[in-house]
Amino acid sequence: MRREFEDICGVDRLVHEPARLAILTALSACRSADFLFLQSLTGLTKGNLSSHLIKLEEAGLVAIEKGFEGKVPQTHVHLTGRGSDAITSHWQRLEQVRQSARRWRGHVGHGDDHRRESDPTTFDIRGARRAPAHAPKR
Amino acid sequence: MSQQTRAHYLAAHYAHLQGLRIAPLGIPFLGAAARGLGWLDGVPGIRGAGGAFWGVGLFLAALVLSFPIAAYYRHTFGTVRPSRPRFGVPALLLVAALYLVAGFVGDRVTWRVSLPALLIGAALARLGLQQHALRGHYLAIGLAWCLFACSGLYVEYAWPTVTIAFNVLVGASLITAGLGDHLVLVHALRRSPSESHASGV
Repeated sequence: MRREFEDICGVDRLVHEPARLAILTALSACRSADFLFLQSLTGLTKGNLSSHLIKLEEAGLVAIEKGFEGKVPQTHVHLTGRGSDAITSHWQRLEQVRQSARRWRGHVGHGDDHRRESDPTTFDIRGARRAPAHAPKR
Repeated sequence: MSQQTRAHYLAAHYAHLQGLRIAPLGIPFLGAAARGLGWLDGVPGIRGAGGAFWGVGLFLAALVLSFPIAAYYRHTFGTVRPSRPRFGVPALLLVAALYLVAGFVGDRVTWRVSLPALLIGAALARLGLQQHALRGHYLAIGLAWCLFACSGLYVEYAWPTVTIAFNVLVGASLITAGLGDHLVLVHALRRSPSESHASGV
């Protein structure tokens, strides 16, 4: 993904990673889920899932509770308030990007040459202009 | 359906998708239909009041069976604590009220169409269309209920025949719904083959 587009999107890489996004999305639909369910949902290995959960916990997006069901250890994960806000705003941002991309598609390749001659901006998303990493060669 | 949409739906409806818990409830209804057709006349105590005891016994057995089945889902796929329903009670009350109104109207108007059955069929078909028809088996069940509602069975046939048909419909619906939901869950949730099922971070 181009740097300029990432800047415009403002995508949170911590949330946007597919496995973590699936974890946060699933947790947003329930009060809590245990480790086994999250592993079943994502198909990750135990170590991989643990790594993602630790990152999310360190960022304050999830809280991990450890206990016992009889003699079997149980680990339940739930979203924090901050995590709930993060996933909600992330989906809203992706929706905004989707809407912007629709409008952007109308600008690219439709008589923008005159704009390139006088304006070093390589592309223009409505309301946001960025300097190009490399100026177009003429 | 995208991975994220599926993740949200599975977490939100995990309890509902544990279909093996409700599939056994269809057996008492199919048993009642078989009894009405005379297929179970060889079973001791099935005639007369004994049939009711058989039915209650099968129903209770299905309820008791749901507990070890729930444990199977817990140990195989994990546990989800559902969110508190925001619209569950009003929606249920609305459906119940609509059902009562449909029954009230149906009792006073001689129609070939059974309004309560049509309402149930429509609700089930709608469930089958949600989430890109993830639970498409409900669409088939809903259509079966709509066909039953429009068949005019209860107008043209005697009550015992209608009862048998209704029991077959309910029993088959419960078993189809249960097995279908279970298959949706099994296909959607993946188990990492190299890992044990013990929980822990």
